[in-house]
Amino acid sequence: MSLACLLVAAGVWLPTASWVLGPADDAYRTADGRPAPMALALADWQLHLWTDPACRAASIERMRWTNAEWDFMGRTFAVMAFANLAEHVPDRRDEWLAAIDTILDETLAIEREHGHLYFLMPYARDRPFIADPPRSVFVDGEIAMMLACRLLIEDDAGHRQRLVERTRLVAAAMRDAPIHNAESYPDEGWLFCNAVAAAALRLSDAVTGDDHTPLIADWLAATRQHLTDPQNGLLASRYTYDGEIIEGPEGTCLWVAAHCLQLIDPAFAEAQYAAARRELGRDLLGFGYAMEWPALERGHADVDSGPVVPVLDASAGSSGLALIGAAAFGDRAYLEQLLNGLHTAGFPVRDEAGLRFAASNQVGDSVILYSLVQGPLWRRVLAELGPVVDTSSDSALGALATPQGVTP
Amino acid sequence: MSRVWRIRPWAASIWVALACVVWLVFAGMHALGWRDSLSLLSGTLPDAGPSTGAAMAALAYGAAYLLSVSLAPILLIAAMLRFFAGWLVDRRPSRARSAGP
Repeated sequence: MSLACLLVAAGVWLPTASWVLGPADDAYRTADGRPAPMALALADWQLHLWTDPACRAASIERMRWTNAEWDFMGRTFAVMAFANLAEHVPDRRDEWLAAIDTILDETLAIEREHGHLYFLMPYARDRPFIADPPRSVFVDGEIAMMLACRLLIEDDAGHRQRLVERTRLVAAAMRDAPIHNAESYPDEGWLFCNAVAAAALRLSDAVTGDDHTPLIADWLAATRQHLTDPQNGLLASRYTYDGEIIEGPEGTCLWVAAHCLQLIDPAFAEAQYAAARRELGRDLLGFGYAMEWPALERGHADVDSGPVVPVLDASAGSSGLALIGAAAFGDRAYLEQLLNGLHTAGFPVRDEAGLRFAASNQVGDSVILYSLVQGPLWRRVLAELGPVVDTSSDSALGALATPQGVTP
Repeated sequence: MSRVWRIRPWAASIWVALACVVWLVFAGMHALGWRDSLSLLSGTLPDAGPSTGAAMAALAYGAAYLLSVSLAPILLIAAMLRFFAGWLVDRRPSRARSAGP
């Protein structure tokens, strides 16, 4: 009878654990479209970091010990989140804008002082870039993204000039590359970086009135032609400058790439998300997570995937970025499962400075924040410019979910 | 020694005690601030810097948390079921006796 009691107890507890341990329905997402309390608390923590130099320095140093890229990506996602928050919560617009300017000014100053490769991993210096000028589209693309987001909130002559210069570099690098995918590292392109760069060009066009439509269309066509995995239709993550695939599809690239593709080809973006969800998205008893690789193409855990839980193949990096995909594509069921997993296994820490996750870091927290507030900027650019590929604006906007995961 | 042997591992009270121990150990680790060492799970240095102690603290805290949200509730629910089942069994003979001629 004792064993039966234990089995019944497990049968009662395990299926209901996600309901008991998960967050309240409106903790992270509200029904009326405004950022929820947890999202605002996460934003408060990010604001705290960007207004307290000592706290920021400590946080960044702890990340750079493992990966200098996180220092940079944390800045990009924080800017993207703050820019969306400026649209969501206009009465705090000055706060978000000041934080964006702090991040931009500091990032550009660091690049000037320490060089273009400062935000890359050490192997960027092992050999020369093939392209001339030798630049990383990871750095240029994300700086262009930060500048464009900032300018979409409020114009500024200095930043506008910087954006024009940066997009000129990005566009030239992508135009000259054999498959229109520029190098992130020497002889190494990444889907993540090129998709962000392409989206940055689109945002830049909305700001400056330039037109990079032909280049972005060429990039998309070449990317689809050369980098599509024939087994699952997903785009490969890493490849040589000539377009030879080094690593196949990876969650840490795909979720964000699909989100960026929403500005370019919403139907293809939706298809990539659906395939990524099918191949990588999982849940266990209501707790959502994402794998880094499709089941048949297992890779090895690395600095991008983060620790991978054995048996489940749950990747911390892919699971965090899957939040962006689920939120951007209005996949409410998966988003709720991921938030259950985050709330339970991310170890939230809430204090007077805001909300952070103990198992995460600044870049992880800024990704989570962005996933909870993304939407307004993408919708605005789609409304102004429409998608690059010939899809009607109405259907493009319809495919873009609100931050709360409700397709309008 | 004989007293130890008299402990019944299937007793509901033992399960409740075990669940309480798990929760108390977890609460102790939490009070000690070991939660902050969990940043190691994302490959990020904890505030205290790189050390074997921080790694052990992260592992211990993670394990204690896992047990406190998975095993402990099951033990508690099982103890309640066991208690209730025992109560039902205890009641049955007395009913039979009272219903007899």
